[in-house]
Amino acid sequence: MSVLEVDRLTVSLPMVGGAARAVRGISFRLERGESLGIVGESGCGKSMTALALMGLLPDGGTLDGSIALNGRNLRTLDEAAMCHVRGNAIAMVFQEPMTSLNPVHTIGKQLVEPLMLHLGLDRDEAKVEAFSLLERVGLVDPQRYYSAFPHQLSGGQRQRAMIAMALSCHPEVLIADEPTTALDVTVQGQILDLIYDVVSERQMSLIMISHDLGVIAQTVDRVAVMYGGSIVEQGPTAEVFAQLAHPYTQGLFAAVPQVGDGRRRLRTIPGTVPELADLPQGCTFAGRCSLSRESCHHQVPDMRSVGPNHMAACLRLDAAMATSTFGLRR
Amino acid sequence: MTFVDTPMVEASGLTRHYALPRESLTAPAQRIHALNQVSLTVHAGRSLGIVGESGCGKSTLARCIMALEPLTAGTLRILGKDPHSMRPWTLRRHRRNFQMVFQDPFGSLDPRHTVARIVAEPLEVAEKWLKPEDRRLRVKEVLESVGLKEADMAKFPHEFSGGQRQRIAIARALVTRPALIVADEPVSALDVSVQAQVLNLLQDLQDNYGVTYLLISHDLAVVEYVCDEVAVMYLGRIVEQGPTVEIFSAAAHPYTRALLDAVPKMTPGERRSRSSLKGSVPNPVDINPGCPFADRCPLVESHCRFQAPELREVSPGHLVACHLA
Repeated sequence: MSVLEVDRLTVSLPMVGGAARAVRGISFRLERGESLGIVGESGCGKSMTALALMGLLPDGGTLDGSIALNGRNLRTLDEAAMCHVRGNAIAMVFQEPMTSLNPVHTIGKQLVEPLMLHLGLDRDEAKVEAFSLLERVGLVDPQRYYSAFPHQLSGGQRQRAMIAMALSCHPEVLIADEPTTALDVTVQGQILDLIYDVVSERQMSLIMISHDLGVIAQTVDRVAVMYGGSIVEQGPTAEVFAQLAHPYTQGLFAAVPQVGDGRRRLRTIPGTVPELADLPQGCTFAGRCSLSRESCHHQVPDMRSVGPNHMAACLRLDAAMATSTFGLRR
Repeated sequence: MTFVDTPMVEASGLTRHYALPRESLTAPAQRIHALNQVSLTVHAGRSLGIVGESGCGKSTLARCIMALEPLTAGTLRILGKDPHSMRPWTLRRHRRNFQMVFQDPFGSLDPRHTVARIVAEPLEVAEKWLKPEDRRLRVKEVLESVGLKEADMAKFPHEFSGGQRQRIAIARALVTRPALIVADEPVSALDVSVQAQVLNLLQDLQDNYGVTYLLISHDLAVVEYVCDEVAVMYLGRIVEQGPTVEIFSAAAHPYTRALLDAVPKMTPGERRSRSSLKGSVPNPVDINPGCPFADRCPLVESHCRFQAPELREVSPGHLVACHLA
């Protein structure tokens, strides 16, 4: 049984002028010990997917479809039961650690609180556990970090503290939402190493959300590409990177400048990401796609298989695969 | 007005320190050493990229070159003239030759002004004598050169997406026909697919109008894509400088190599080599006498901690500040 099984998940957010469907019927599953990457540009619904899994949608947001954790549908749980799931079963690391840590409490206090609340430890046991967590995430000299306030730490250290908090109650699933976007590139490497290590040593499942294809390529087993609230392509990372099927995935990969490419001209995707409030009727990418036909604007494409476990949602898949001249630039 | 033999930018020993508030009445005020003895030359038509992590002084360097920040020490010449010693009015007119594009296209455009007014504003200082219809024509031309339409002139910034706003900011920088554009992280606030459009635009403008860029970025791929030369900064100093091709194929400074290694490559399956750097950029308040990178350097030797390495040439045009290079 999969740890996490998401089926036709839809998230609607109230907006001026009607509800915006930020996530439109996405389905995926996550096995134990597996890592899944969700990649896409801003506004594609990747963060909203993460918040929906955590049961932390913004006010007025509504869910449809099902989220099953070890076979139990999270949508049927009340808030008290959901509080138990959060932290114990699913934990999350956010993008900007400064805004997600409480600035008026020490790191120690914020670390001890879930240990006492969720695991029922007393204060002394919790403190011992907190010290070992801080050491595990590379904050050696835990006494100092235990009594430090978030503003006294650097960005990388804060993110390490966030990871310690996420690990504290031994969750089965770790969701990391752009965990390194706010960090410098040399620190980013250290944090990715840390996430990779703790996830594999504890046999956790990982959902890594990122806009950076390099980060995705090197940290996850499977990847899902999101655009306009839908998953347009998903499959094993090596499979997807070798054979880009969906026109959006192809465009996205071609638009990224790579170190070592020199002054090669970048292929661009014309236009911009559509507003969530008025997404097109049919395929959300139709307006920017060079292969789109009349039918693309009316009909929502279904996921079709393009290889072993590799699927893409496009009506013009054959044409798209034919134009996919490169697997991936070496 | 380009002088053929005068370098576009000639900076020597640029230094900028900021005083921190005193911690006690008797203690001397501490200083942040944001920029230490930075010297560089940019020739017309050659673009220089400046890379480094946050806090390395790259934005301070841009602001000092734009004469938006006073210098603590050092001399700067832009097209042979020193903007820091000019009287304010002369400086304002000299500014037509060097313009800036800022990082955040949401913060750098006045939300209450129309695009036409935003883009025309530099002309009011630089070319006051232009008749309104000529000014309008110039704005129209420059908007077209960045891929916007004449109809966009009456719109307000909020009607545009991030990429389009950055085009407006670039148009505003271009309208005085400057020889030099200083761009501080021009694409880091943009999405990947939009970033590619703006990068291609920067390259087109260079090819068509011969603009010289001083491009600040934390993204090595962006710099490689636009610039002929690269300078790598660490703790307010240039640690390596040279032709882009050479820096990317044969980096000599251990910090540059670590930066290049740290960029995640788009090759799945191949695990990233473990990060070779420990810790993060130290605080620029206490500068130790030795090499600024000594504390994090994987190759550090004992004399690195006492003696600061000078920039020296390891091959033509390729400068490195490292004892071991």
